Amino acid sequence: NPYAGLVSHLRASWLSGKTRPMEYRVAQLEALGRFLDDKKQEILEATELDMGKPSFEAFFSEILLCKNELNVTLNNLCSWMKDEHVDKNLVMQLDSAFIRKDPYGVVLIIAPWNYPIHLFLVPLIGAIAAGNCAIIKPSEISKNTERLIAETLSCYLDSDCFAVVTGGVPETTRLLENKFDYIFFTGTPPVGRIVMTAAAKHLTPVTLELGGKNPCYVSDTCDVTNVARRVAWGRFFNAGQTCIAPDYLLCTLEMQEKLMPALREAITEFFGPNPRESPDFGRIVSDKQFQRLRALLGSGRVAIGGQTDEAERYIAPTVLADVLPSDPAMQEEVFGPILPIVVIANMDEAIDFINARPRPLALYAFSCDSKIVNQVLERTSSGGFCGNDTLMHVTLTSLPFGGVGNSGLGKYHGKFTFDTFSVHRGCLHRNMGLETLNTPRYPPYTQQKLGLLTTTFEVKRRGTCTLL
Amino acid sequence: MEKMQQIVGRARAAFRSGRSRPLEFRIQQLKALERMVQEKEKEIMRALKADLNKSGPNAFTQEILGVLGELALTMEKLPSWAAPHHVKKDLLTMRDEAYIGYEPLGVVLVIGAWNYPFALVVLPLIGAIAAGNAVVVKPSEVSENTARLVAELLPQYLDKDLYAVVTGGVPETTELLTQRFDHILYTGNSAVGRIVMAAAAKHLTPVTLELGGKSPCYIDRDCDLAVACRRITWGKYMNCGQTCIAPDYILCDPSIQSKVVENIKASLKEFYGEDVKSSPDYERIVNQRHFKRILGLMEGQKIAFGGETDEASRFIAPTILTDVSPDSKVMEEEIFGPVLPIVTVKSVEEAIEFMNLREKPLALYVFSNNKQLIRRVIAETSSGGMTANDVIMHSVLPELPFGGVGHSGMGAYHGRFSFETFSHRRSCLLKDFRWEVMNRLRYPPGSEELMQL
Repeated sequence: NPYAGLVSHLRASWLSGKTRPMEYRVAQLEALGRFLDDKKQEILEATELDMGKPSFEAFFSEILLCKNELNVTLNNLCSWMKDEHVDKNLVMQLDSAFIRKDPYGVVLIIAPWNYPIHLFLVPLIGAIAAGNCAIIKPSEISKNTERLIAETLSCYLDSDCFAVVTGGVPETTRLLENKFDYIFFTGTPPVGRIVMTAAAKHLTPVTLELGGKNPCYVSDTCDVTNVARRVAWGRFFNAGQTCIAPDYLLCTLEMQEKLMPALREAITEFFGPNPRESPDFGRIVSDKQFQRLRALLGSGRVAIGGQTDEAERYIAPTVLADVLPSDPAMQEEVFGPILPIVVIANMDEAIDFINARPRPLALYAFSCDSKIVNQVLERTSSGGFCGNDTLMHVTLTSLPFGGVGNSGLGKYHGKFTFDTFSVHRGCLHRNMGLETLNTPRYPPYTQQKLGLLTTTFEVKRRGTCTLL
Repeated sequence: MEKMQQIVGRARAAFRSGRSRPLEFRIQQLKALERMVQEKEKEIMRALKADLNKSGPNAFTQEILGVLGELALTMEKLPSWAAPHHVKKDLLTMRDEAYIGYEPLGVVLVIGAWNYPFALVVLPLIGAIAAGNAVVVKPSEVSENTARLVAELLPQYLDKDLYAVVTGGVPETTELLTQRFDHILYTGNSAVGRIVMAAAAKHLTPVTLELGGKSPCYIDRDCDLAVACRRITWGKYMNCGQTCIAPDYILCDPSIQSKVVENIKASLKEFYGEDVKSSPDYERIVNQRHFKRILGLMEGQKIAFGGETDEASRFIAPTILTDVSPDSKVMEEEIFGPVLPIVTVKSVEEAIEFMNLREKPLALYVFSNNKQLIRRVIAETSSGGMTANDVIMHSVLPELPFGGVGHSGMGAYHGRFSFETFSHRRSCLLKDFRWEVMNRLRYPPGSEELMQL
């Protein structure tokens, strides 16, 4: 077991208790902040090399959003760490009842390649804030960022408590043989199953941030220009390689016709007449992903874009019209700059279409009529939902971010990350005195004792009279 | 025995019909469940007596009282628990509606255990119904009378398709676990917990595992020994020690060991009289397998009190073992019986180290007049839950989450935590089409100036 030594080293540090004091956690979090500041340029460069990430996008997702999470955590850590006192029942009035937030111990964070800094750093913030030690396993596919993390993170964090492990599938498999106290995984559902199966051997709890096809319903009554902009932004950000991107559009034939020129205009507004020359449009991360995406272009008909360049791994911002549910683009998560449009007759058909498929990570609905937005919301299920925009629900740190069903289990962001990485321990500190209050619970039992117990313990519904 | 696939399929179709979603429906089902418990109290107690020799009052206080309390609390609070929870917004979302919606997960599976066979299926069932799900309940086959009763009663009071009971043993449960559920709550041991989680992994089903372990109980020299021992005696020997959060073993200074034994003996006499076997309030071991297992744990140990057994009635007298070696068999596995080992330690540091060397327990107990010492034990150990200066009681307060950590489990329930366990928290952000000018900040083409912003 090649990682046994590393894991036991971290476990020893954990048992020493050094990650528990608030001062320690704050110091490590502040160091993470310095990492983001000092290495900003290197991060922009590495992600550019990995997937042509435009520097504006990289700054927004890899630096800005991470700093937000860091600041929310630092600002609130003190209150999050406090014992949460709870309401007590009659016999416990003189006792102290509270929920304590304990760290788990040694946690494992496995990150994917599409937002390679953000998707390890934001979980790590919560792991540190909750007092854990952590092993970080960045994705080998975003290899420049992987190297940056492996080489520089240890200069900022305490290497006794935080380590980076690099490698591919064989290394991750060996790593997963070890016992961790929590595993946080972001990636695809098939690998999510493998991670959870490995975790089951050690009874390790997990958070799985997975994916799926995020539907985007556009009703006939909407501001077409704004819809086109918001959908195009969400779809083509990071060249479509976003787990919460609108994966496909559902609308009527009429709306498809109205949307097309608006989408064309939005794309031109964003990326100019030749997106290949725009500094604001990314590239596909690998040849494998590029081939996969190119094969999807045969679905429906190419209404906008469709151009590709293998050497650059460039795929133009593309909209496919009249896509059929049986087409290749509708069989897997697109994860690229291609937006299939599936025509449906009406909202009910759209909702049935959505509900016949696995529950997605995100779901979008556009309409000027808020009743329609609410209907879609109420009649479907998804990890998160955004009405009349895309992606934005995950930028609000007070909203929990996570999937349901095939799109994942568990939640994070803001306080939810801290909660994810802490054990919520129910504690009751009782008085040694007042032993007479306890008498009704001891044998030998009498009807009188039973009556007393019932009175003091039972929660009475409002409106019924109590004996007291 | 109907095929599992059909039962689960029917539950799923019933869930898809949407009828379990309205709050009125859920409360109506919970009311029906409440009526069931009130009307069938005698039958429930009869089943518990047959399975575990639980006396009427015991059955009532251990299982029925808690269930009625949880029902009343849930029906009272459900509207507020289920209401959308509006969240704090930031600059970009100031004009939007942002909230967390609580939605049902779908079809959930509740697998019960045999020691509190009624409560351990009904308590999770309450939360699952409250959250709007369809539920498949699988009571433990070991407590067969209660299992049979639950299978008979539930369809008489609740919606038959939405809430189904499946009975059977290992083969039936294995088959059930091949089906897809949207959450599984399992109460039982760690070995089976692993199997449940591995089966759940195939469908990416979230799980709540309420497992067990050896719950330690540290008695400080500075404490009221009479009171401490009475409370410990109550928690240890209730249900004949077959309680997941019973104090499994005692850690104390050698100088108070004999006083601890004396005080426990006194409490035992107080509770069960001179002849424990004839006390109506003392239970029996659930089956031969466990009876023999517990007997095996007593082998070679110094019995300070008790030790009498009767195989025919599966009776094991309340037993105390002293000067137990940490390496002995009785210190390796969860006892789950009326045998209380005392291991001596010379200090609270030694006690803490002892506890930390072992798997994280479901519960942890410490008795002391010294508040600092108690705070220290809490801070330097880990457990699912804990009570200081008493035992069991943290599990009685529904405001405290009840669950394990590490080998003692994952997830928690009781009260609001049951509702949340069986709900999906869906983040909702509702914007309108205005204020597009705000969005322009994020659209390409990006520029250095915008980045400075």
